[in-house]
Amino acid sequence: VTAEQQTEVARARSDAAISAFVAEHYDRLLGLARIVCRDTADAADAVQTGLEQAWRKRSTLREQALLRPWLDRIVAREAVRVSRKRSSWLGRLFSPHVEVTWIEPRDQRASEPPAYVALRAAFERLSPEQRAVVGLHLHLGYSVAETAAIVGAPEETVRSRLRVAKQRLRGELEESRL
Amino acid sequence: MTERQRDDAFDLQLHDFLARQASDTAGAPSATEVAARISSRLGARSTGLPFAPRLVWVVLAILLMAALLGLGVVGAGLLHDTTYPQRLTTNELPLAAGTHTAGQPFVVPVTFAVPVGWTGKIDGPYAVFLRRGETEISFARNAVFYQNPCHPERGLLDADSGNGRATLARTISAAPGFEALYQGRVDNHMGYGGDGWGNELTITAPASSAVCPMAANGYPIWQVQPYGYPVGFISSGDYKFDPGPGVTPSLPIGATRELPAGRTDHVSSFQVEGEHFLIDYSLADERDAALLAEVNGILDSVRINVNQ
Repeated sequence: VTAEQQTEVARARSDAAISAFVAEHYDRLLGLARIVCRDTADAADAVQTGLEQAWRKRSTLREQALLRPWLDRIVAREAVRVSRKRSSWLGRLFSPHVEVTWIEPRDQRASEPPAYVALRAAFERLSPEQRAVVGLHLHLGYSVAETAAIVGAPEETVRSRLRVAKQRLRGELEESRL
Repeated sequence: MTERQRDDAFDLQLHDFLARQASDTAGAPSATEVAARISSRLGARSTGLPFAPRLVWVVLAILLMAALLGLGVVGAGLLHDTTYPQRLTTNELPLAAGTHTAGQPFVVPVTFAVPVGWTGKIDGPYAVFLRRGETEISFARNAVFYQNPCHPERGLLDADSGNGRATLARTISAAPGFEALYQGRVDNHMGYGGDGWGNELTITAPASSAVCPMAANGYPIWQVQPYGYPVGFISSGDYKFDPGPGVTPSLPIGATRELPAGRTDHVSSFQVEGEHFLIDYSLADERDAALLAEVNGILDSVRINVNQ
């Protein structure tokens, strides 16, 4: 076996390991990032970046049981970062120097029930950090303490973010019913 | 219904909403595609640069010497015809050896000299494109970079400068298959007459569109913006530069620099009298020292007449 063949074999093994790693976690992470980013393409970018970071640093993870929250933390933070940067860019695009006309694509979800439309509109107005704690706690089922550890914030902050987020969502929903 | 029941009903509705949001991922790449991208990126990174960082200075020194040698050769060709600068047009035409200008109606008057074999055009009032074969040079005012050349529909970054270039390089590098390197700050690199300084970075497009979808003419890198100037609109649907009342808009706006697959764009950006100005070039063959010398000869001839 030549050195070149050995390299090829090692590379194929590495590719297979990456594929298995991504396949195991991708759907969950994409869903979480989609909740935070509200945009599929941004979510996909955040997940790819997060998974790549995780793969590079996987040797630093001492307990395999912590893999899932560790990955969720990396991707949630990346999704918040992407989301914040995106809103910042939009702000700059709307600077007084530029006149931009936005042509919205036809909304395929026009037939959605009004309650869902109201929730979506209210959800978009939450901050990326609020969407992250809502996604981790209410969608992925982490406890408040676990969510706090994942987002790197005190438990009280997480409780406050959840409370404010739910109040806003509920308020918008009730208004839509009037 | 009691308050508790209302809370429970709302929680159920919220869970259902979040589940639908999380599954609304139509158009996202598959896990297999993402794994392939990560493998590709890790593979590319693990091989590292073809030379050690400290050798960069040696390579730069060699390139500089080659450029200086080439200047002698190219400069002789450029001196054949230094008559009154000839104006470019919006049609791409062969340029006679000698000095040309993009001034009037180009918003920032620029003069430059080319040897035989180059074609050129202005594209709207803000961009100039020169070409010889697959080697390209462009000048632009108010050029704004795309957020992600793989997804031009996501729009543009702002026209920042200075330390923002390092951030810009990182931003573009985040696009799958793209590699952008901030080269550093340079002073009066082009010898133009205005104030200020410049920054340089290189942007290398992916070798194939497998990891990053590519438009017909290449990956969009930047687009010029009509800051401060009126924009006309004609029936064909194209936006045009509006020269004023009673005059038919004729110059296109929104000129875009597109980088072919696998090609490296060398970008220098400057502040000229408070305005953003950019010069970039890409070589048909990065290893062709004679070609680089020829391009450097043209770049060194550039004069930006800010007060004209």
